Amino acid sequence: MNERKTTLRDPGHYRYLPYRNRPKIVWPGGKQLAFWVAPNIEHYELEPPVATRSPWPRPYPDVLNYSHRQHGNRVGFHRMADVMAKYQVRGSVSLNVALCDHFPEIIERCNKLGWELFSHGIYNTRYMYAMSDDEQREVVRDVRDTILKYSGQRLDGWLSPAISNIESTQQILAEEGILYTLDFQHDDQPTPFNVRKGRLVSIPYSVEVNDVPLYLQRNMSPDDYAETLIAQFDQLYAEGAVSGTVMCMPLHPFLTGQPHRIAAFERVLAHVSAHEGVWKATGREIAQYFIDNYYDAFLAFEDKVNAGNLETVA
Amino acid sequence: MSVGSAYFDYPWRRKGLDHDLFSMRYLVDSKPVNWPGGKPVALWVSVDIDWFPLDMGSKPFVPPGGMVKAYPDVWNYTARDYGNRIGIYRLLDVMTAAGATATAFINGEVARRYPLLLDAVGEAGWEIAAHGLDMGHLHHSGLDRETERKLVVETPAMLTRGKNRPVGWHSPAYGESFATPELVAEAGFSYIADWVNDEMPYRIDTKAGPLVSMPIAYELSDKRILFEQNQRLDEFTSQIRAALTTLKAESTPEDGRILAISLSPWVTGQPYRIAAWRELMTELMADEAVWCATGCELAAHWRKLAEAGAATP
Repeated sequence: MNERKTTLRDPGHYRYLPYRNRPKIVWPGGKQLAFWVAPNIEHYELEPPVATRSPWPRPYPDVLNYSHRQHGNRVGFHRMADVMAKYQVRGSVSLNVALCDHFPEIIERCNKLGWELFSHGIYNTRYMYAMSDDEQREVVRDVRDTILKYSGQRLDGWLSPAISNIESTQQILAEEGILYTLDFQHDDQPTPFNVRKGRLVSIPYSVEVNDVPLYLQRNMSPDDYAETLIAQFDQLYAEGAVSGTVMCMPLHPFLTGQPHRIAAFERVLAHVSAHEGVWKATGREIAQYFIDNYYDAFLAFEDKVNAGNLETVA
Repeated sequence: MSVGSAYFDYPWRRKGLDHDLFSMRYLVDSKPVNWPGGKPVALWVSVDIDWFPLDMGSKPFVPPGGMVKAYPDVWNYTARDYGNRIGIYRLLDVMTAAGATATAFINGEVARRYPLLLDAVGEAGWEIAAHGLDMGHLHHSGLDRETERKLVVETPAMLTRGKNRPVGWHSPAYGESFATPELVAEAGFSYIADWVNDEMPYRIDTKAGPLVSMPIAYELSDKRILFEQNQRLDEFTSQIRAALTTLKAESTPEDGRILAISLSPWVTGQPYRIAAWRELMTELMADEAVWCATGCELAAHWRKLAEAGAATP
């Protein structure tokens, strides 16, 4: 790929697709909402190198913010995993793969619980910004090898560390045979992606109901968090009767796994679990089911509604 | 476009942490710690007694509560100083009435300026611990070692009452340099409370000897929830109640936990807030599962167990 000399006016990865009259999705077993939980299991380095922006707000060592995040690995993870196990919810782990080397005990428990591992880069303090194509491929290779080595799993999903993906990232993911990406927040259903080689789908993640923005940026209390997630679920569940929707709960154990927040998390899982029409899935399962059953129909519908429209191709 | 090959060097990618200050420990795998009170949950209330200089500047960052308006920012200066004149006495009264104790992390400059305040805290039976010189003297890697050493050595001398020299250290705004733990150990402290990565004590190893790292509250602090996050007072107290419920469910008298709460007199000591704190404190002290203790009591007990091999460092 050539380096771009200009900036884009839109990402160019997807075509316009109105929410109305789409091909109807029905999830396995006749379910109307695919519910998946994505714990971000991360390591932020104490002294990361800086290529583009510094990961820490304070001068190194940022003991407060480093140690706050580390709570998730020392304490919060197990508390969160216990609650998920209680409600038979498997995690799809957004994983900084160096964590396999640092804290293999956490990965062992993920494996025992039958969780999916997907890529969240090497560390949460190493961004993809300004990487060459080959450098991005090197990250994919490292992630793929590390996940295989520690879990025996194939690398199928991708959330760029700190969502630091650049213009070329999704093309490279498709070339590398990745099934699905989470870097785009444009929809409540899976969607096909414009890629030159291979095939890539976008699965709904969420920066809107992610615990980091809600707890750290919107400064919500746990009660408000639970009410927000329950309202999100109720609406998507109702709409899922028309055509199957996806709801993701992105988590960070250093926030959700705190003693004052764990009950709010449990309240949401209990609410979701009380609904018959919920398919508790992993990211990989949602992506594969969509590809097998709806990808072509969605593509054809996109062609139809965009006939005569301005074409946007990356 | 390239980030350079050095960006793909991962010098600390190994089993364990990415530094040598302490070992990785999973709380679920740690040996049980029984508290001397025989109760499952130790309640540790720490109170930051801060002095924010009017001319503190903004380098390397402004700590929560610092001066943010044009000099002279008397709005913020006096709103903080209110805590030292009024708020702290409300907190002392509430804690005494509830039969509770606390750890006061006090800036050395508070003791120098307001010796009557130091006396009042000492007379209430609270632990007097060190909180750096003042909120304008943050500990960070831009300080040279000698400058920082002086701060660490001078502060406890200012806080010593009779023979009671502080044994606990909490850096202003939880800020440390790479040298802080070693300087704190060298100055004779037995515990440090800046790392918010755990819910039980663990050991920090320094060239000057070991320190107990105490799980000071960060999220469950009035500075965080009420001052920085602008949540309601009842949201602050309900999160403390939720934490207690969780910790009670996870603990036994043989395998204890700590409920740590951090307060600031200029936040919770306000007239409109103190009643909620009184109500909560009364409730906590009446709970059969709760034992109210100071940081030095908890750290000393844990250290004794760890030295005997009965606690996981």
